[in-house]
Amino acid sequence: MVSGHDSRRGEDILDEVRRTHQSKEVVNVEEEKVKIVIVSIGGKAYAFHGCDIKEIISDCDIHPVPSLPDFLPGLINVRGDIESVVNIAFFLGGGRETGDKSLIVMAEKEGFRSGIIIDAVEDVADIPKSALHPPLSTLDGPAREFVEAEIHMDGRTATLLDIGKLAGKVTL
Amino acid sequence: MIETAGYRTFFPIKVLLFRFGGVHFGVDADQVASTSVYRADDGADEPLWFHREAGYQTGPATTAPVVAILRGGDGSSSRMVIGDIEDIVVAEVEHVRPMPSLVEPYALRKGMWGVLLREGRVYILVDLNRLAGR
Repeated sequence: MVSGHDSRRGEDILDEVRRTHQSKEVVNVEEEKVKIVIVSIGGKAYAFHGCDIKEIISDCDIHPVPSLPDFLPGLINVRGDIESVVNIAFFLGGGRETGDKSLIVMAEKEGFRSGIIIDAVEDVADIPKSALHPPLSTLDGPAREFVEAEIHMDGRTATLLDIGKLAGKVTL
Repeated sequence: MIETAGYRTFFPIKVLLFRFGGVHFGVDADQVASTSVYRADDGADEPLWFHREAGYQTGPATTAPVVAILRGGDGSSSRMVIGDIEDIVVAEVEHVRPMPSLVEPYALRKGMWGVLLREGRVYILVDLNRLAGR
């Protein structure tokens, strides 16, 4: 009887183990995550999808090209490859002068490839999709055209920008 | 230009390097017949100015600008003030890059067709004849 009881308990425990693992799998499906890179631009927090950011380049010299629009301050030399640079602050309302040295993220999506000037990288994180919310209806200005979502996470907020929409805005 | 087994190459090319408004430029030296120091009172017709043709908002910050005599494909010539000359160098194809795709359509319309990398410096390659409207 004791051995039978022990045997049943073992199976019960095993059942519970299975149920627990299955429920975790369900939770994992519900909590699908996205990788984001959170940056600051003009004192505000913005984010890009991690899959769209290929590289972060610090202390980068920007070589000006005459008569390009203000949002294209020039070219950068990335290990012998010449890349364009977008001053995204121009669209975000923080119209920022570009200094001699800049911090740049290299973005690439659907045939678009360019550097984007930022002030700092705040975080690289995997966040649940439930943390993404529709853009604020009160959001105004050119930025609204390439905002994908608002991120609310751990008491912080950031505006998720869509590189594809930015590409459409800056293509000459 | 060299032709080998049906494959044409323009390289190596001679490039005249010059500086204007703090930006480094290069032009195919074949486009330039000669250069001289610009003098406003030399009696010749007023030359074209690189900064105006390239779309600069301000004039050159140079005390002794150089005027280039451009050699047109049809045998004609014109003059353009190009700022300060740095050097004449020989460039191989490995040293030249196209403009990034985002910038290239606009740059080509302005005669800027590529980039020369030399000693860690970036030179914007320009077609002065195209800038001169020829």
